[in-house]
Amino acid sequence: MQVYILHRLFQALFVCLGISLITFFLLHVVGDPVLLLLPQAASDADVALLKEQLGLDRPLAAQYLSFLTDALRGDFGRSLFTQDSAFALILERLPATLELTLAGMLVGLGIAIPLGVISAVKRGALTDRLCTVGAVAGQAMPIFWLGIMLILVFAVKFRVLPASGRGTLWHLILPAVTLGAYLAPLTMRLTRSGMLDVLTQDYIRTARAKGVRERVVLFKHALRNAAIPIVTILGVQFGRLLGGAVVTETVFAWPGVASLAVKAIRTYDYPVVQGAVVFLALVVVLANLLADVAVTFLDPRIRLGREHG
Amino acid sequence: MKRSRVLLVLALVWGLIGLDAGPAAGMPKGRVVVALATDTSTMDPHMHTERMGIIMNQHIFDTLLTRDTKTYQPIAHLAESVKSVNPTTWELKLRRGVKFHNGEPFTAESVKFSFDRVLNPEQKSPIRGSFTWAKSVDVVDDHTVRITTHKPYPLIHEILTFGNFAMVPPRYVKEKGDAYFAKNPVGTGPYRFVEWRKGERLTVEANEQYWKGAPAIKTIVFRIIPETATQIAELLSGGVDILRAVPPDQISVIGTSGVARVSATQILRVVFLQMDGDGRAGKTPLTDVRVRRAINHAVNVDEIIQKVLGGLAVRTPAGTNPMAFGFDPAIKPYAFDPDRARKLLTDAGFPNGFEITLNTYAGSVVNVEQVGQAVMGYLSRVGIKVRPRHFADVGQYLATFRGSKLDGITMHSWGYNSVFDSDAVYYIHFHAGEPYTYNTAKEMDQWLEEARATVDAKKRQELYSRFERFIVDQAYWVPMYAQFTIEAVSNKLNYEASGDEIMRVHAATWK
Repeated sequence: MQVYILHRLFQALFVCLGISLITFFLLHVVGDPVLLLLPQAASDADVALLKEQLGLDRPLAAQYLSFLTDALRGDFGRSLFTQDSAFALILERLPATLELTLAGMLVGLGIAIPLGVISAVKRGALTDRLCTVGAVAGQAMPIFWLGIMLILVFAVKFRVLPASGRGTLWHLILPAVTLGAYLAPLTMRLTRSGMLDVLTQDYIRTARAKGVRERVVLFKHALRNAAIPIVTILGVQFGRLLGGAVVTETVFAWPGVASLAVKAIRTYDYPVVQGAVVFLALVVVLANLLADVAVTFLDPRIRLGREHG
Repeated sequence: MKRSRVLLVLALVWGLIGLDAGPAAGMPKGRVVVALATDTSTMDPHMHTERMGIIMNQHIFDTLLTRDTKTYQPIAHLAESVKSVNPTTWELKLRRGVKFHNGEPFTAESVKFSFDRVLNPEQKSPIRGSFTWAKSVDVVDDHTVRITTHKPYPLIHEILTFGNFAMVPPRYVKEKGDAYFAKNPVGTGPYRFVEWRKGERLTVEANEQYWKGAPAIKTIVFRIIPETATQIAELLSGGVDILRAVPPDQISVIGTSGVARVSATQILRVVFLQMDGDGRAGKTPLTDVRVRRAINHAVNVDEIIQKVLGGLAVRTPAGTNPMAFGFDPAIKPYAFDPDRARKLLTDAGFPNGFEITLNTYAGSVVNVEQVGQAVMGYLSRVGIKVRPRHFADVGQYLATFRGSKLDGITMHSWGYNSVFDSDAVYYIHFHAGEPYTYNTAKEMDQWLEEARATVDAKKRQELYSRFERFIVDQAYWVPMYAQFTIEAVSNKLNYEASGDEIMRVHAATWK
């Protein structure tokens, strides 16, 4: 298991390297931050001088090499606009994004798993059909639109929740529900199909024949086995959740890494974009690793298979 | 007897409650929340050029001169007077008895320190380029400063109102250093800094010892809310009291809400179609003056103002804003006349029209897509087929513009850098060698340089009038309109939007 984890962490380094390379070249090809750092009326001489001062007049390969050697020492550079350490800026905002993402995941799972189980148990019934329609509608619904609708209903019309910002638990509700609703449809459908598969297995029939209570059959025996693909896909979904966080943090003025990255992209604040993208990539890789490790605890066959090579 | 005692006690209690009901009349009270779409990068006024930063800074800091909000003329502020001693020397008399929030006195040393700091190349201030006209700043006495300029500089009064050029405390900045000052600002302004949570909020509190008198509002919170729809939702739900940049289609929503109203006023930003008359980005039919005049006749600017902008814009016949010095009201725009346009195109050798690019960019022009589509429609009616090219990214747009790659017609806008003078729009768009110049002529250079080199207002106006007649005759632009700023404000407040787009929340009062 330890070898497996080390192997995956080593892979993660290469993933982050590849992402940093792509991000770096895309940013530099698309835009120039110097014109946004100076007044629009700045002379060409002022523009050239600032470019030189920031080292942006060097060849791209030289700039990337500088970034890489500094990054390996934990220095992602300084924001071109605020002069703050990019790493410090990201760390400052990371707890807010983690808080939102985990809350979104809890809400998403809280909606998806019970509905997926009910849907599977009542297969073909009206409940099942309503859940399926709901899942399809949920997947088709733009997250931006859902967030604004929730604000209009709960903050403007009924004034029971704050419209935006971060502060109390009340501020977390609407953004977490928005993000959770983004996660729930696919998870619900996976839960349903996993449960349908498991519920036809012999051991389920045996458990029922032995008189085990239906709740125990469903949640101890069936769901535990159906959870294996769900946990695996949650690792992948975490990346999707971070993508959803980009929109959610913007709509709800939530001060997280995703909204920091959006602002940095708009202003070509290279060090902050690089740092944020690499950091978020690392978080996704670690989430996938955690999911894989969790699966080995759920499914002993996988753990034993690895131990025996 | 017992009842009268009870009544007396009740009366006393009532009186005590009344005494303790809140701040006495004239004391700052309450909290106002202002929504802004972006944060500033630093609290140091000399180290950024962001409008949001200027809005926040001018609550904490003061400038030497400020702008009268009715006439928009520079008026006394920290400097009581700015007088010309000779064409290259100005004497400033400073207000007495002003202190920075940390108790440090505001004196001539503060002025010299602020100038020197901005002009110091090692400081790398992004506003340095706006102050290189200053040769030296000398302290005469504690409340008198002399500024010597390299050449006569007629815009000194305008530049001294510049929101970024705030007076900073020398002792505090030297002791604490730039990095600390950038996060813990100290100024002489109506509000003291309390807290800055970057990307989230800035909180300031009333300076009750402010030299102009304590402001009415005790606490102002500037909240960063990037999404316009969320800002409006917060306004309607009472979470926010003032916001700017209201989309025109939301005016009625806010106006009928019962909790807020819209405040709109003309601003300096002008919108115009710039044509590549020199062929800087490549030769096109636009190098022919008849074609440019035809395009001027083809576009119905008045209709765009009425139908697309709901009347919230003011026509600019020669491109410069009517609020700016140098505007000549005698100059008339081209009449909307599609038949004349077609005749001119035929005379120029294009009886069937031609194809041309129309460049637009996102950000500063309100309803840019709709205005762009209207322009395309008018041009197609006279046979000019437009290839739209929209820059979603301002940085890319500016790089293409400055890099001589913006061929065809460009819907451009200019904010004058908050300087109410036509030099701020014309020089950079018409003088040879300037980054945004796509139309040049020797006589234009001469007039622009002369207007910059004299402090004689009458002579300057004559020069600008001549210049404007020339550019209208040559039809280098299709001058369109000056935009409006549209802000929204809670019905609890007396506050109006300002034509220089600086939100003066410090001047707001409770209803």
